[in-house]
Amino acid sequence: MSFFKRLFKVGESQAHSIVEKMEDPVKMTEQGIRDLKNDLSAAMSSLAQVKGIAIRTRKEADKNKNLANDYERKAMMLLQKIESGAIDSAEGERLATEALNKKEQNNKDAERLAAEARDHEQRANDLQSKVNKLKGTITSYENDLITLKARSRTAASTKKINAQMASIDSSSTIGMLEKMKAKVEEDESLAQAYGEVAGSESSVDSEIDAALNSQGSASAANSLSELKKRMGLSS
Amino acid sequence: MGLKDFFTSRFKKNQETVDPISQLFLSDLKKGYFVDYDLKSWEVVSENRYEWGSEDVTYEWQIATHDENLFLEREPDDEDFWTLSSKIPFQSLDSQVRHQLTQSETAPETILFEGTTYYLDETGGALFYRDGSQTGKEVFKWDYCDDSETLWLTVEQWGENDYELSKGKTVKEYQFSNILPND
Repeated sequence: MSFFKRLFKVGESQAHSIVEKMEDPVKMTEQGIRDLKNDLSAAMSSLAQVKGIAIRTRKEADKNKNLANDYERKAMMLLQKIESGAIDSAEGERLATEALNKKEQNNKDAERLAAEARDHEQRANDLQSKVNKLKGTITSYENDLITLKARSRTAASTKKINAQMASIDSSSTIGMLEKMKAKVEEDESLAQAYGEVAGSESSVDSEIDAALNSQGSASAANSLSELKKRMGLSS
Repeated sequence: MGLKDFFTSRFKKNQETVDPISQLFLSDLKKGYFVDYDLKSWEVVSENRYEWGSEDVTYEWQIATHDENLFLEREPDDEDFWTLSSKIPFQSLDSQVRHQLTQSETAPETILFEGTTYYLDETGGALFYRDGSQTGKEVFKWDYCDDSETLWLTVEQWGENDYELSKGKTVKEYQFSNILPND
């Protein structure tokens, strides 16, 4: 591989790495759902148009059917008038034929429009199914996103707590506690040592003080000397 | 897509008010919307309201398919009460009933129509606003219902001698589906 090709690859991989870091999956999913909703809006708009066209076409078909019936009724009335001599036979028949032609034309239009209306209605039904399916899919995605967002937040909080717990272990807090414990123990030892020293000093003093302040033993000594004198013994 | 197209499309998207996923309710119907009922698609052709007094409003949507026009009415109460009716000729009422309604001060307590006895439920005057109009038109109504309160007969008086009759039934919201906005 040539040097420039390798350099390009390095640049490409770095660019991908940066873009990946920039990608927030939640935001990307939200954008995806927004795009789907736009597609759905467009589909719904088309569906509304098709439904409107279907209703109008069916209405037109009905109108033509009614017109055809009207022309047939008119042709019959013309024939009745010819029969009763109210109008000229040739003129009456010409008009009746015209009316029947119109009837045929309207019937044909009615049939064509009815077929068109059926097509539109079928298309509307198909579109409705697709719209409902798309709606269901988007709703499902939205629900998934809500769940994933909650899970993501929980994971982030857990991560934060765990990181804090981990940082407590490595920080000086425990060390400080240990140091404090050692210091307390040291102080306690020192206090005990001082206590022992103070204890030994006080025992010597107390013996002296006891010897000096012992009234009972002095009087006992005097009594002993007097007894020795009375018995003629030397001290 | 050019830069201009991009911003134009973004601007248009911002103007959209109806979230295609949000659950649309029957009370959200607007003129131009479509709704499916009784295996047919219906287009909302007008959106009206009757104001009976302060905060006493009933809402009405005229829905049409190729061969039928119906009036869907919502009466907000503890829960919404829905009726669906169609206009029928006033002349189809018995002549004595018509006479009593048009000439007498008091409306009949019951009307026998097409084999069903309807009982006077309520009467009242309202202002009728068509398609969000600011000007209301005075109307007086007599509402009759059968003993199960599922069939309705309504007489409306518009002006001095203009009477309209409609026959309806109680409906439930679940009977309507696929509400489709059309902005």
